[in-house]
Amino acid sequence: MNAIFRKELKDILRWTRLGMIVIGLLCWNQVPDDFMAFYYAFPRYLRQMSVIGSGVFALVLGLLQSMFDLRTDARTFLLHRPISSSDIFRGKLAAGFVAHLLGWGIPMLLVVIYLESIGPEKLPVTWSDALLPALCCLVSFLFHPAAMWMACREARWIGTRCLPLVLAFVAVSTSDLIAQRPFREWGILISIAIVVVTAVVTVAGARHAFTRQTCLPFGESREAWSWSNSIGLTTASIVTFVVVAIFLLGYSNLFRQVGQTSERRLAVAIDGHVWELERTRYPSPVLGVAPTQPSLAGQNLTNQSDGNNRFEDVGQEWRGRPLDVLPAPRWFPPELIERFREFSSTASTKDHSLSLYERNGHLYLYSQYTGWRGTVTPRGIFTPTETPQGRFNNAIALEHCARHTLARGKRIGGQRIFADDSGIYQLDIDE
Amino acid sequence: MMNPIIQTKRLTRYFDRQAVVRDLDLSVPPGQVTALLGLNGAGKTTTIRIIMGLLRPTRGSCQIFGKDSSELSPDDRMRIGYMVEGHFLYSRMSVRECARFQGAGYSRWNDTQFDRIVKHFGISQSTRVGHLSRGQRAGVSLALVLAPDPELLVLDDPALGLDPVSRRALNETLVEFAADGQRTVLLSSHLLDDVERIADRVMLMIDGRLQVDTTLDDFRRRVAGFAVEVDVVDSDRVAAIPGLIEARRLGPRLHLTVADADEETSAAIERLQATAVEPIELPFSDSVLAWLSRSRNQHSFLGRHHAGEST
Amino acid sequence: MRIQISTGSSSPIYRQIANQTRYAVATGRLAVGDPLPSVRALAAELVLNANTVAKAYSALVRDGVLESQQGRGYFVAAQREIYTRRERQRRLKKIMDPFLAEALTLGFDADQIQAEVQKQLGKLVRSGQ
Repeated sequence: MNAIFRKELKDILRWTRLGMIVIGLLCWNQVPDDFMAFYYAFPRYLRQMSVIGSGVFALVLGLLQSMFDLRTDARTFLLHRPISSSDIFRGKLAAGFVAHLLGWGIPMLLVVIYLESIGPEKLPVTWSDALLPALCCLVSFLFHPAAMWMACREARWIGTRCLPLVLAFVAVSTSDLIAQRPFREWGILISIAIVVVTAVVTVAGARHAFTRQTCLPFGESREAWSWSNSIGLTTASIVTFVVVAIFLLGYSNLFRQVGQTSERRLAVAIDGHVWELERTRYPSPVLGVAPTQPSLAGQNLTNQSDGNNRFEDVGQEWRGRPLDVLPAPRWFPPELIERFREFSSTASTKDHSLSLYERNGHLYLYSQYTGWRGTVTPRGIFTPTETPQGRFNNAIALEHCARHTLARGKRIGGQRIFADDSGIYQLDIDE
Repeated sequence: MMNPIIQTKRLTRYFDRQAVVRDLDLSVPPGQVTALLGLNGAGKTTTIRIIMGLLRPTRGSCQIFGKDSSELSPDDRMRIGYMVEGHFLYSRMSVRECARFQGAGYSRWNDTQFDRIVKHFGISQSTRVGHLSRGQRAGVSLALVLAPDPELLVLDDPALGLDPVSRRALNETLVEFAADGQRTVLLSSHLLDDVERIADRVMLMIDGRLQVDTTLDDFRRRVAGFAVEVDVVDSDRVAAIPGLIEARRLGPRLHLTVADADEETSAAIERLQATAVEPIELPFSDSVLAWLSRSRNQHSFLGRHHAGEST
Repeated sequence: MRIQISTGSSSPIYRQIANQTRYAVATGRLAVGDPLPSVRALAAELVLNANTVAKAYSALVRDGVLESQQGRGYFVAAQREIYTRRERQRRLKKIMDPFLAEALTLGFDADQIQAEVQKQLGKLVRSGQ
């Protein structure tokens, strides 16, 4: 098997160079260099672009490694030797994996170096921002055995022949979903299980197709069946069918009811009153269906009918949550992946807009043009050269009621108010 | 006969509803050189691929070394040397790299043997395969196949496209390989002269079926030729000659090629009322041609000229 | 002695070898007791299947032209009468009939044929001495 591995690797290294360049360009395109480019597109676009690049690269490698050997004389030459065809397959797979790894690994490494060099000084990025994209690229390797399976299959139409690719899509989409971290614990576990099972089925199916199906008479032999074939292809067909059905039915109809959410937030008005706001959101327009405007309903917590003019006790169970797009799983230790999480934005006294990013209980202040200005902790605002003391505990940003005043046209900016487990803070930045 | 090295039973293989190999019962005895002859498309390459376990039959079975072909283990494959049709090699490798790549699976690899054969064909080992001539590629293929000292050699049209010098080098190597009678060779070929030189047995495949399977001498003996001088040719009487393989008109004479001639044959020839009947000894290639062209005549419009039409 | 065989001839290869060896012995180019190349050596030289050469040699041994000595190879045998006189005459007639038929067809008459035969025989005998 070693000889096969070495020979295959040598053959595809030429293409690896090309793949590295293409993926490198895709990554370079998505790496932020200033705040204009930064905002919410990073690291999501980096992940998506690099996954597309490495997925296509894996597909191309898989096809290269299988199609040239489908010609009968090439096939007989490869398979007649005293190495079992399973070992030959494994050699090809291993060579493909190494080449693929180099193809996305080297550009990703360069991305990591770049991210670390911009460091927290210019933009709130660290090396760990590249970790989840890297894991997704790793999963995208599944397009390689899927492509080999596809090439070796005996199938009548070009349609069913591509079914194994659907499995790879499923795995990659699931890994992309995990990276967005929308799930609770069991959701993550199920997703990882889906990726693993898909991977196993794809590799087993590819191996079976490579070793058996290329020599069988069409559609006849018992040997054409294998468990990986039945599970894999059935699942792929079901997934394709469901996706096409949803697309044809118009998924906005399906998700309209589901997508509607309502949020409750705590807000502090200028006069110091604490309000509980409820806000209803509708999904973004799809297929020409426009969303309705979000409505606000409020309950003044401080001005109670009984005349007491103080804050309501929020109770023991109330916990603050950082302002993420979607709630993060509770068990997901933030220390595992140190990310800057977008917190909020604020304004200085001179009305300069500043962005706030949270990391490990510290809030990092960034100016759009000059980068990292300071670190905010309960003890105060520290300059970048000082070591910050103290940490926030589950900080959340509170809304200014004033920003949502119904008197239109009147924009009252303001310095950010936020709360953590120990109190409510207002940020005063002197500029 | 000792246990045959290769044995097929009712081997059948379809490609898209077309039977390329039909009901083949083939035995290759050990220790001899067996030649498989047939027209293009007769099913020789398919049969060889099935024998080597690289293709599964639609029906029937095929055994090699007593085991089913589809279950050959790597250890079994070490005992077989298989030369692929067209001398396929990876064109980007150098000859030396080919040797190293090939030798990876074999426990017995004789580098000296490889070097010797390659030198016999006039090849330098650092050349890339893609830069070699056809004949030299065949030499490399042959060397790769013989270096592990296999018990059984299977060659699919080894002399295809070879220049005369390479062809002779190929024959010399094969003759030397088979000389001790301990090793078996199965080769498919179109070159009847080469087959006459080096084969012990000959098998003829026509339209996917095995028509002949004998030793070379028996084949010659079984096929007899007659030159018959006759004024008027009676096609029916000619067709009625038992064992007739071919009847060709050459000038004033009718040349008959007959298999297994006996008294009935002589009687049937008598009935042609010829003025002269002369037995002719046929060269080996003519006998084979007679067999092979008979099947082609049955399908081609040229057949009418040969089946005894009067001119 | 150099044997040359041709493929695609109506005479089988083993017979060509046998005939040429016979001719060499008859013309004296191979003397009694001369060694012949081994089966494998001749097969390698002529690029032939060893069994074919072996067959030629066994035919020659059977006809008494060669003798096989254990472990040492094949040698030209001393002329022995293995055929009866009647058998030898039958064989001669078998060769002579087609020869005479052909010669007559070529247009030679009996006297010319005889003269030619004398001439060739004389040459043969002289070259053998």
